[in-house]
Amino acid sequence: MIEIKDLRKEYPGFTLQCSLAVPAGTITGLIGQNGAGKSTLFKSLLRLIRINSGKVTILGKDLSEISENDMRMIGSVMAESGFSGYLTLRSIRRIMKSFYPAFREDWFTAQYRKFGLPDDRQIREFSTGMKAKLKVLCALSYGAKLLILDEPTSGLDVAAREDVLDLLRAYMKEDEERSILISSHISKDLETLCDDFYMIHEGQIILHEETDRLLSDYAMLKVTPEVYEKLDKQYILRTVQESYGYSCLTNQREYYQENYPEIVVEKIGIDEVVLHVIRGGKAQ
Amino acid sequence: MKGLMVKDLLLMKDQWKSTLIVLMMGFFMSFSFDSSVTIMYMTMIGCMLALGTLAYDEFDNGYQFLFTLPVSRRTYVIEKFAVVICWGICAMAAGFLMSALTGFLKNGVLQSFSLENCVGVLFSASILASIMIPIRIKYGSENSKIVIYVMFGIIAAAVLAFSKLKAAMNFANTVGQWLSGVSDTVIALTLIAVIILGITVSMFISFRIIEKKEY
Repeated sequence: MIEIKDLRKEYPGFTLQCSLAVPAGTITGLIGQNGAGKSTLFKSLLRLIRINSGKVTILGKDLSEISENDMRMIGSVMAESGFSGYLTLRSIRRIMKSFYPAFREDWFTAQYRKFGLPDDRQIREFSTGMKAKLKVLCALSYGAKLLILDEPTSGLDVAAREDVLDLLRAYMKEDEERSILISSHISKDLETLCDDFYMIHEGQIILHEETDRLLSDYAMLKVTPEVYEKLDKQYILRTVQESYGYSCLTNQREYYQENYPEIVVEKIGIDEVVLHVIRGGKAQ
Repeated sequence: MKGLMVKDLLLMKDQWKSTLIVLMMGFFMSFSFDSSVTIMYMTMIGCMLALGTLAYDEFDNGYQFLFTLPVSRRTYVIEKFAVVICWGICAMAAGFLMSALTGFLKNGVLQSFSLENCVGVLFSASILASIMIPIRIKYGSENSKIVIYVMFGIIAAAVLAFSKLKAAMNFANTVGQWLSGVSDTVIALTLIAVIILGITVSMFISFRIIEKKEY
């Protein structure tokens, strides 16, 4: 669905340089700190900015060949933009109908009523959460083959976030060929949703892993300096110095559990991996 | 294109209060002023209301969202010209209607209007659209105000210089004599050609501006 090869976008003081792939039928997460390059990557995919070099293929077509019709097969949510705040939901329904022949008006109406969004108030009067829900509903309302979602759950409370994630799961179930590229600063969302994820830091992809593998094989080893000295470091990805010694990130949890039964081996989530990959150094 | 049109019409529909005020002003003006003033006023205000949709699009990073919809940047520019021109023509028609109506109320006869009158108004409206659309796309609604003030300052200075030159060279008489030899139809057709040329050039400039922009 998406294939990015050596994409390069330069700004003064920042360069995005990355490659990634989102195959058909998968949900791929993109995680990284603020300013890591997530939005720049999304904007490149949606042709909102011009890339300096690299090859980007979406729906089997080069980015420069994507037509207005192809855009009808892509649904997107951008973190900081949406329909004009002066429009009402009722107006948006009419506009979506005009833009997308496949617009599912009944579904859209049922969903926004379910979310409690008023259709006679201007969008600028909506809360951040209401705006976020509306953006996701619009992106899902015409059966797009590919979703490109930049922080779609931003501003939502726990219950609303779960509702949105359920919508995304249902969207994938409807057609197994569909794909999603999603970014979120809430790693729990990605853990429960994504098949794999890419971690981006200072414009570079620094980790790509399947979510299942991350949750089952990645672990944190907590060791004293003495144990650290003797530790086999071939499967240690990153090391951070702590008050008690070292915490080490590994992608071979079982290996250390079997060979070093005396050390503390903790299962971890995406957040801990992100923190360690960013803060940690290579094992010495 | 259809989606953009619907969006702009719905945005303008929400401005019904401003539209109503404009219509009332136009109606009262038609009692006090010459019909050409009313028609020009209505057309210009109509164009300005349509140009206002550019500001709505810009609001809250709107362009960023708009270009993720099935809309190419060129389509966006073409649609803006179409909306401004159509809205200008509708407003001009309303101006004609008002002038005719007040003429009837005042003198008991329906006033007639010439083709040249229409073309003259359209010419002014097209100049407005051709200048404003590329400037608004390039500089945004806020910054474009400064650019427009500077531009009108330059135009005012040029007009002043031209009027002094005109007086010195007895330009009015020369041009007047030349124009009196040309038929009204030829002048109207020339103006139509200039309108089409001006809009085409402005549209291509707008294409270049919008295709270079990053959102």
